Amino acid sequence: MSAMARLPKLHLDYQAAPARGRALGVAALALSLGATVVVLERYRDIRLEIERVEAARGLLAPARVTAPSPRLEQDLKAADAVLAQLALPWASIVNAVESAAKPDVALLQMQPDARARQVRLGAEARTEKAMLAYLRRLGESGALAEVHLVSHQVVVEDPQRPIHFTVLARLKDPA
Amino acid sequence: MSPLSADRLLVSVAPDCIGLVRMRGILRRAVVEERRIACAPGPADRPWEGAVQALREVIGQGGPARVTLVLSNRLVRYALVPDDPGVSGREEELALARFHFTRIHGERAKAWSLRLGGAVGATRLASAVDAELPDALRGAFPRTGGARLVSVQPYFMAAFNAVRGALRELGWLVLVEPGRACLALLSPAGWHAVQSLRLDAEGCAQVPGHLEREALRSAPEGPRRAWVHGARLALAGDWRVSQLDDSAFAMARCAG
Repeated sequence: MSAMARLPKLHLDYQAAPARGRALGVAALALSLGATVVVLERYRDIRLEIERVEAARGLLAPARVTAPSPRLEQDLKAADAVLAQLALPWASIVNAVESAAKPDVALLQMQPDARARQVRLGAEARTEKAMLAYLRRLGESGALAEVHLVSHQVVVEDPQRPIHFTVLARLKDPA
Repeated sequence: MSPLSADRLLVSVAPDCIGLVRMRGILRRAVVEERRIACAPGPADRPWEGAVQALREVIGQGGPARVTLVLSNRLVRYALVPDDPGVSGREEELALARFHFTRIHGERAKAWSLRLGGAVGATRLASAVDAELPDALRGAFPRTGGARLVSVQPYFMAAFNAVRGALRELGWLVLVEPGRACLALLSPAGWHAVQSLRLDAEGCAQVPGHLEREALRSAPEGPRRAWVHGARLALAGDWRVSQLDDSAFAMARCAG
């Protein structure tokens, strides 16, 4: 018997509108992010070209070198910071964090720091044993090194008394 | 708690109990709580009243969450709406659906709240609930609370959307819950049959017989292929069966 194509979603919701608008929104977001990366990459190329031209001009007329304005410096630093964030190995970070996930530990926050090449994770574990096992799995992931517990606290207001904890890890350099 | 990391709460709503599954985390959500809360069914014309009250209490006690409600098939009716080229626009489509419900259930169907799903140009599936039910469910969420109602789905919608990737050939989708079984025959041309049947004290043991009868009635030469959600069933003869989620919280989980 030949296989049917995947049937479309059935929408009989009494609260939410059909998801068509959301899909368009996600597509627009993806396009915007892609355009941002392209623009920043172009900015970086132009900046490098300017530096080459400046250097060449310096060889011809060394007395005419001038320092960039403070505002330009600030803009350049901000653009460099964004490029650094975009250049992070997102795929390996997400893989490492996902592969360490188990039903007894929930990830609540993830903050990468491109400059320090670190990532800070906030999570909740059902037990101390689950928390320590999670740390061990993160360390075994291959993408993270020096995984260590920064803080932990038992949530006494919750009858199940879960543990909220923060982990800091260094991003390994790509092989 | 940021919107990105707010809990996800999946709640099945039946006349005599609500089932709650709380999920937490980003990237991959973990189940942090599963709980069943019994309640007294409401009167015959408002069987959901007790469940709405129980929901109000649960929502009032919990923290920030995005909540999806899955309505038991004991609170929802279904009907097939054949394609009619003479009908155009949403209002006419719903009027046609209401006509079919009235034909099956009588005048009381005129007061129901309807939704129509499926592709235009094919036989579509319509659902109907008591007109007061959606507002009663919304009323269980306080304006100033952290819980936000994002979806109210009939069990059929939640289960079908969760498993449609596995439905790659003609066959029967069988949804089983305490007191009710829903059987639907699907094909590339749309829905071919749908029946919601009451189960008595024998419960799941009755379902194979119901399915056999429906298959003979609706499609005697049709496929003997079934996907079962909500219970574990053994079908006799040459039926090919795929068991989908048969856990205690299957109805709530399928909306996740």
